[in-house]
Amino acid sequence: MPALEFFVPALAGYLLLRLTNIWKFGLRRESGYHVVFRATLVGLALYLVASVAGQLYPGLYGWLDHLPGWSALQVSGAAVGSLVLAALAPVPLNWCYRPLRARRRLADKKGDLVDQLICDTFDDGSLVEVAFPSGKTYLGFIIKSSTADDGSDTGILLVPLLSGYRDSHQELRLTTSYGRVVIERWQQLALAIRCSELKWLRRFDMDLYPWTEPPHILTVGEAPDLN
Amino acid sequence: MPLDASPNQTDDQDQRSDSSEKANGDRLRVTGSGALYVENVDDFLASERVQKTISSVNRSIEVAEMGNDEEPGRKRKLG
Repeated sequence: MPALEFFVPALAGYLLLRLTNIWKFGLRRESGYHVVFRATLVGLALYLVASVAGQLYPGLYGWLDHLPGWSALQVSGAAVGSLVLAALAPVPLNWCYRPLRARRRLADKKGDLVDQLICDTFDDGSLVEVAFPSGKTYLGFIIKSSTADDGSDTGILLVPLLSGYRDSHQELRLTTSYGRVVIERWQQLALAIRCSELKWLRRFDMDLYPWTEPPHILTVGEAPDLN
Repeated sequence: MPLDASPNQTDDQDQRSDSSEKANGDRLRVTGSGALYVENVDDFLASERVQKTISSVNRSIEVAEMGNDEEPGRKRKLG
């Protein structure tokens, strides 16, 4: 079998994995040999479908013979058909699996609890608490999240609404409110955080906080203390 | 990229490959690498849901301040 006859379906498999929402986000987290193996398997499936289509419709790939120099390449019509299938199949597949659904599926499939929680908070827009080992704590809204290519760490961009600390008894004490300035100064307040550096990340229910010691309300003109 | 291209033009070009969807009224975008982000943060922060949370926090602080003024010696365990 000529090398191209094998390479073209494998390339078609990679193209399908790369263009389809349901697989493309996970592809970046796979190791190289997994990608090659999966692309080859998918390419083989595409090749089989294209071959069956060629059997059912004998004239399907006839136009290839009219291309100049085509016979010298020694590539079958089914191999080219697999490439065409790889380019067309993502259209209906992506229509069924929209990016957000595919992204959420990846978080569920990988069992990454932090990623799942972040996807959920994007869905319901809830307030989250991020707690650092030092005790420093922020409550705010996640506006961006990205995961390292190898899936080892997740980064978030958090717009804080409140900040404070956990004391030696792990009791939360909120010391600063950014509610008055957050809308006009969110770019200055936003924090980029690596989730691996956090003690925990969770949804926060404001109704459960006792508010016995009211935090200081930051206003424009004061420098925010983000340390 | 041409030297005279504005930053906005570059952003538009970069985001053309992204996909966006609405989730809970906010337009979210997903990049090719799977990063999720709120497309327009100003709109997101001005949304009814976020405003409700901010108002709730401000109101709770005001109530707490009034409560402390009335009962300066009162102490409750923080959760």
